Amino acid sequence: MPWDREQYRLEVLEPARQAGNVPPADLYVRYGLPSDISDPVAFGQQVHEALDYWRELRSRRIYGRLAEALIARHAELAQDGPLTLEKFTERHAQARREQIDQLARLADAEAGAATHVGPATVARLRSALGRSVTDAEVTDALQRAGVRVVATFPQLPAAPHPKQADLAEHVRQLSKRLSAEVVFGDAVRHGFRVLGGFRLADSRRLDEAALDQARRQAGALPYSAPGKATTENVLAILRGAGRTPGDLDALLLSEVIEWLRQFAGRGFVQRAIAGQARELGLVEDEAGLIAAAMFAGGTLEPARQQVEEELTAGRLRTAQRLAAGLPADDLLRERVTALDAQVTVLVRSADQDLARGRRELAATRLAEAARIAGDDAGLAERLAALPPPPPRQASARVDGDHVLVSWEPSPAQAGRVRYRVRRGLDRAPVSPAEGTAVAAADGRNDVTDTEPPLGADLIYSVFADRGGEACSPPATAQSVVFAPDVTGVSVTAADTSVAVSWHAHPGTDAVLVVRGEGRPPRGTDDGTALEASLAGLTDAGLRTGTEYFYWIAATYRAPDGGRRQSAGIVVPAVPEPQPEAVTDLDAAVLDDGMPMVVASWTPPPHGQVRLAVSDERPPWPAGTRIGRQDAAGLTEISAPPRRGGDGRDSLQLRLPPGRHHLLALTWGASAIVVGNSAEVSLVGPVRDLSATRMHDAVQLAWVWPRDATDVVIRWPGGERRCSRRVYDDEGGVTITVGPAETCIEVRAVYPHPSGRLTAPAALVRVPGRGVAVSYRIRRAGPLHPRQRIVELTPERPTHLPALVLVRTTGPYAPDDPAGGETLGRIEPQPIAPGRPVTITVELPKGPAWLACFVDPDVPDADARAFLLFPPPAGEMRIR
Amino acid sequence: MRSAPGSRLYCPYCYEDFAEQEIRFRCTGRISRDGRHCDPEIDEVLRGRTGFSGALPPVFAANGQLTSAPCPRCGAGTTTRVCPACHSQLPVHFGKVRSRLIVLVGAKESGKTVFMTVLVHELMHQLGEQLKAAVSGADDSTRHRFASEYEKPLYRESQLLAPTTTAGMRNRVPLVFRFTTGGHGLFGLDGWLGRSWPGRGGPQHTLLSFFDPAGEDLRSQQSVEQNVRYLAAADGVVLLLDPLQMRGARQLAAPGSRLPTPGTTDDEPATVLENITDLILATGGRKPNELISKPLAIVFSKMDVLRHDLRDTSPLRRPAVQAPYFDERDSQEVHTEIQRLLARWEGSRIDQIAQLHYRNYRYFGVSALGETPTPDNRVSARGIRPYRVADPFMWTLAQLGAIPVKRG
Repeated sequence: MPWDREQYRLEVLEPARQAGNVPPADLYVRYGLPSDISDPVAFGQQVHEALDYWRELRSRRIYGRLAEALIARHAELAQDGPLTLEKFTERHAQARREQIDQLARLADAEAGAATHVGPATVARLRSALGRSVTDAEVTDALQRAGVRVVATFPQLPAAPHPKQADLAEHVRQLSKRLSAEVVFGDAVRHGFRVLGGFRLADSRRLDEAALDQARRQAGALPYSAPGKATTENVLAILRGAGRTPGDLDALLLSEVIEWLRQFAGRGFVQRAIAGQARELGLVEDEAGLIAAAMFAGGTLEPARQQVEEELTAGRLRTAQRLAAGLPADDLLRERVTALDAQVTVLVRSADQDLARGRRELAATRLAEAARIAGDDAGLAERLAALPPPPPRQASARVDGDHVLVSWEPSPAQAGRVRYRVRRGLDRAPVSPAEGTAVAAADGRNDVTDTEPPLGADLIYSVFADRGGEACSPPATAQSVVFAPDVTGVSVTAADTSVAVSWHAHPGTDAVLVVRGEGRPPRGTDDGTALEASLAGLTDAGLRTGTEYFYWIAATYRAPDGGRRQSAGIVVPAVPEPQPEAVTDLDAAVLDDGMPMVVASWTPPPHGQVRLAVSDERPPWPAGTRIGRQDAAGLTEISAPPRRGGDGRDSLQLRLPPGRHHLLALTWGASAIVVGNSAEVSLVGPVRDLSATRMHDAVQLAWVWPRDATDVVIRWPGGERRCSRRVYDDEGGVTITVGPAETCIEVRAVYPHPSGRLTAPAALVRVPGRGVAVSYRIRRAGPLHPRQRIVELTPERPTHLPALVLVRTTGPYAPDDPAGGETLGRIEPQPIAPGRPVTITVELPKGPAWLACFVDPDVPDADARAFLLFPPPAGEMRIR
Repeated sequence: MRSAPGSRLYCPYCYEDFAEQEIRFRCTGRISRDGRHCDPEIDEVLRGRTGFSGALPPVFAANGQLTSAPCPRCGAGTTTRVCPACHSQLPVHFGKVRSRLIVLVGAKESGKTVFMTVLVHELMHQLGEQLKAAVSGADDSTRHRFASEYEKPLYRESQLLAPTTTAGMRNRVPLVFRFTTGGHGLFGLDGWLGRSWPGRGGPQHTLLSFFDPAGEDLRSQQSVEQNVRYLAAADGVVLLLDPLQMRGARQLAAPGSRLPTPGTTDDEPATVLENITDLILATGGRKPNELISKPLAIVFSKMDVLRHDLRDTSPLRRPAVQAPYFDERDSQEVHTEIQRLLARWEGSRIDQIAQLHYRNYRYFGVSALGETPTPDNRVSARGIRPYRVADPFMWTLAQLGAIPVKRG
């Protein structure tokens, strides 16, 4: 009979592959030999068949690794000469002994984690031994190790009982773990069963009688007893469940299961959970069975979830450890194995790349492996040991009182690249051990050297690494001399002098100043050299109105004793009289429907006055000198002022509603002086005005503008004032306007020192309503019990449209004319108060409803002109 | 709370029942005439029931029918009377004045907390003036909590109140208010339908206890049973339902209205009414075939978003009656209108349940805010404009014979 390769693949190779590409330990199984083979020729043929098959599989993606392993093992067996049946039998017997020993060790290990196991565990152990042992042998080994093997586990509820959460909350408040303890007390700890119904070890059941007794005991407790109400709540929930057959037992089982699930969810093994169950009082066998059932069924899910999470987080090694607890045929376990294989291939390829000098490619592969197995410290170390390519184009420049070093990143393709910057004096550091360290830049391509030595030639080198000691060659910047300019320059000009002040670096040796007239000096020899201190100078005897330029440079002593000079800065100044602050700015509001602000002030003798506006009060007192950058933050008004006959300047402004602050600024050529400010309030109208007609009343609503305290409401024939407090506390405003179309205006009112300010009106138009016509239904008289008289009365004279009387037998009065049978019709006719229109109708027998509607044939516009009000339900109901 | 003179009382804070003589006293902690005093200590009973963990002078037993008693430890006299079950301080006049317990219940997101806040605010302002009545918190905690946790966020900060947490929280203490009117009967009118009791000539006090359970507590029979005690003690029940949880009404909501999260079957108003009915039936005290006589106000909230769909002649499109009495005719018209709307909203099952179980029920349509809130959970910038929020409260008081009724 020819050898069946497909059967061999399914029964031998596939399990071996799933077990991590480990060749079966049983040589008969490994070579596909029948256990009773005795013919040396047939033996030799089968060995060759198997060997040929393995060689074919070497090129296959799935079985390649396993085939390589099988061929390698075959080579080992064949080391001592040709493989004979006799030698094979001897080796097989030895391997068998080793397997039985290994099985015993595995069973002992299993006993450390479980008290009860099922068929899945048996299969897992068999699989671990390459299926070279039988189920019976595994079962026997487990039982000898003290583990009970069961064929099936009890079915546990997949989800908590609906009342379990509430019950647990109350039970916890009573410092108990199970509700049965509330009923039976400590007897529960002495033993109970829960599979197949709750019962104590002494056979007592938790039934209605037990609950009644517990309730009586709770009822006898004083009100002051802390747990009285909670105990009653527990008993109420149990009693509720007891009303449905089987529900109480299901609830009690759920209590036990949910208590234990919290441990399963935290990764405790089955034996530990069985121990917890015994602590609850559950008898030993049920404790083990329930704990094992939790692992056999859906409770594996938390473990799977954890494995998934570890894989997602790139922690393959942790996932491998967790996956060992999953069944051998679990797909997730296979995925873990496949990822492990992928990591191995990546590492091997990286080794080959390194051998061929392709370092970045090797780093890329190691980084990929580390992404999958981030918890494999060896991978991270190997990656860190590969120096990355150096960074490019390093440069250094003086920036204020520090040196800024920057560079282009390293072209490294993998790993997290760090940079180390070293500063050298006169020579470039060639390794990270040379020079002075400048704070390492993590994730940035520049660094600030805050303590560069003054006046020296500084050369910066930048090294790259992947987190380890191995680093790239340096990228070196051009040398730079740290000689900063003075900072914080301030210029104060007077009629014929200029005062300049600055801040010099603490290491400054001297400050050089050269003055130019009409243009900036080009260097130390271009202009008039002035004597200056380290803090500033005063230049007197200048011509008023002439523009001067001051070139200022700091000098330093270098470590070699020479002098170094900063690049220098230039500041302009024009001697002129000091600008003076405005002291009498005034603002008034003209309200002629479109509020306008008029600002006026006395112009000062020197400087140009400009107005600025802001919502907040200005932070500076009058007389403060501010810089141009301060003034740049204000909203200036560009319109030119008008000079009045009284010598005051004035400006008319349109500003949005709200509170504003006007500020007068006096500008000089080199200074700005703050004057006084004036506050103005402009009033805005109410917003989003809405009106809802409610018969003759209208409910009004709006959004109040900030600062408005009242409104005035006007409508034809009425006016009402409403405060904001009343609006807020009494829920809006309702006014009575009558039936006609009405236009309503609402004006916001603001408090003001000069009296109240009233905002422009917000308008809303409310459509009119139809003429109200009411009808009543009464009996015609005792002689005509089935007759009804319908009488219509209007609120004012009008022309009645055609109406219909409709009868329906449903549970409610008819909602529209189509909802029932038309019993009568009222023709169009005039109607007035005191002259009602009536119609008498004869009703069929039986209870019904009677209602009146505008004839559906009447045009909509005419129908809407009427509001037909029905009588009380009692009149419409015909009994 | 006293349902009739001589009968058992219900504590307005924990709803346990007890006889008047069982009322206990709390020592004042002040120094007595002979120089002794009691030190404050943590009251474990009060802490267990309400979560209050501050130290207080001790509680002692004495004849609760008296209004004062000497402390057996220090000898100092005290007038502070406390509930024997929860040790909460009982309102002044408790047991001596006629008290009503009105329980407010409702489904999740039906707006119970907002409704209660707006109702009490209205009673403290416009409605109080209209009814010639004064409403105030019956204890410091209610006054403080109502002002800071309910009224201020809603009225001053325009912030909708956070959903009520579930009733498992032991420190959810009811808000208790005292409703006071001038003498000669409530509202200063002769409207007592022939009833009389002591003190009729002077100011009349009625205690109102609002227990505000989380909506989730009423979705299923299982969680409702924890609150059965509150319903058993209630003189009247106000059940707030959200019409927008009914498919037929939801599709009629005005465009732009904020709709509640579509609920499960448990959130449907008919299911909530069924659960409440089961609970009231479970409180016992009636024959199997007997209808429930406890007044039940079935209140449909958020009517502002359905207003545009109402007929021009609908009573829900006219202003509420503003008078110091309960207007039966107006209320009946609203009841009939809601009955009609229930058919339109695919909610006729509610009417069937009500008819089959209740002797005394009434429908109401209200809007606590008057306008749909903004998407960021704030009151409309146009403010709070309640509509008919007092109607269920007035009806319940009228059913209990506590206010005059105008018929016809």
